[in-house]
Amino acid sequence: MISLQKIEKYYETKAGKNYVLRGIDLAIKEGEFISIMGPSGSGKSTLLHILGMLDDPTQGDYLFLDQNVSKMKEKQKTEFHKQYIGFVFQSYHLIDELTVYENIETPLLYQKMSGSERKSMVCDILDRFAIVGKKDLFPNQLSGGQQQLVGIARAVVTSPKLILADEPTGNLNSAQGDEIMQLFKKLNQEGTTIIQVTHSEKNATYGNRVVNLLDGWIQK
Amino acid sequence: MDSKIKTWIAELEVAKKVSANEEMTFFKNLEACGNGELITELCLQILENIEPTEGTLIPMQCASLLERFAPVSTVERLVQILKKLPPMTGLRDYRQDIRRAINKLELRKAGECVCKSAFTYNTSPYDSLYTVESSVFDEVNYETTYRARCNSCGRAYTVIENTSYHYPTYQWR
Repeated sequence: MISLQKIEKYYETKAGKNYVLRGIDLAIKEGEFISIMGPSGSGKSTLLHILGMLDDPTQGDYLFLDQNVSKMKEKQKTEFHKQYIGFVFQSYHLIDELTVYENIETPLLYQKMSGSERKSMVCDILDRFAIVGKKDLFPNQLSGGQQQLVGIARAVVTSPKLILADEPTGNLNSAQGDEIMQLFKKLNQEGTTIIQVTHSEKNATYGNRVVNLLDGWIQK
Repeated sequence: MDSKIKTWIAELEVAKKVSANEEMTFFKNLEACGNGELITELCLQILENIEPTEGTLIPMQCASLLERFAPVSTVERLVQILKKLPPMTGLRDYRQDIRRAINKLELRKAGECVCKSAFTYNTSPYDSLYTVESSVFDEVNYETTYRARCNSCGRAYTVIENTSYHYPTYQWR
C-alpha cells in the first residue's frame, strides 16, 4: 500500500541542513496497524504529515497505492488525500462553529455526491459511533473523549483506506484513551490500515508493528 | 386523516429514540406511502411543533418532502412556519432547507423549472437535479468551475466552487 524510499526532510539554515528525517525506507501493507514511536523531535509527526500528504519530503520517493506521490501536483495530492486518507489529531481540530453533525458532514461536502447520499452516510456514522444524541451540539459542549470520537467519526465518514492518527489519546484520560484505542482496533479489524504516532507503550500494543524513530532515522 | 397523522407522529417519536437511521427510514417510509396530502400535512405539523433541540435531520427531511409533494398553496403556511422556527446555532442553519422548499414551490407556482432554486441556496452542482458536464480547476485561485445542466429542462449553468472556507461555497451563473 505504502512504500517510502530514501525519504529525507531537511530545512536549509545558515549553519547548513537541519535534518528532520533521514534515509527513511518503509513499506506498509494494507490492513496493518502501525505505531510510530520515538522521543520528541525525532520526526514522528513530520513522517505522519508526509504520509498524509500534508507535507512534502525534500528528497526520496513516496509511493501510495503504486502512485508516486512525490511527483503529483498539489491538486492530485488533495484528491488522493480526500479519497483515501482520514486524519485524526491530538487536539481534535473540530470546527468550533459547526455542530457535531456538520463537522462529520464536512469531508463529504468535498466529495461528488448528492445531499441525500450525504445525509445517509452521516446518519450511519452517528449510529455506528452512538453519538446521535450529540448531533446538534457544538464541540465545546462535549468532553475531550466525545470530541475525539467525533474527530474519528469525521475521519472515517468517507470510508478511507488509511487512517493517520497523531497522538490520538494525548489529551484524554486513561479510560477515554482506552475507548478510542479499542475503536481504532475495531476499525483495523474491519480492514482499515492505521498508522498512529504515540508516546504510549500501552497504545502501541493495540497495533501489530512498531516503527521507532530517533533523530530522524528509523531504528533497526 | 387526523388519526393517521397521530400514528405517524407516534412512529417518528419511536424512531427518534432508536437511531438516526431509523429517523431516515421513517421519512423513506413516509415518502413511499405516496399520499401527498398526508405527507404535506404531517411535515407541516412536525415543523410547527419542532423543538429547538431537534435541529438538522428532521427539518431537512421535511423540507425535502415538502418541496416535492406539497401543493403550491402550502407556501403561505410554510412562510409562517419559517418565521416561528427556532434558529439553529450551527453555521449551516437548517432554515435554509425550508427557504429552498418555499422557493421551489414558488417556482412551480410561476410555471418555472425548480432548477433555478440553486440561486437562492448554496447548492452543489452534484445535487440530484443536475448533471455535471465538465469541471476546470484554477490552481491560482483554488476554484473549480463546473458546467452543469438541469436534468429536467436542460438549462445550462456555470457554477464556481470556492473551497477557501470551512466548507465549499457555490456561486451559480
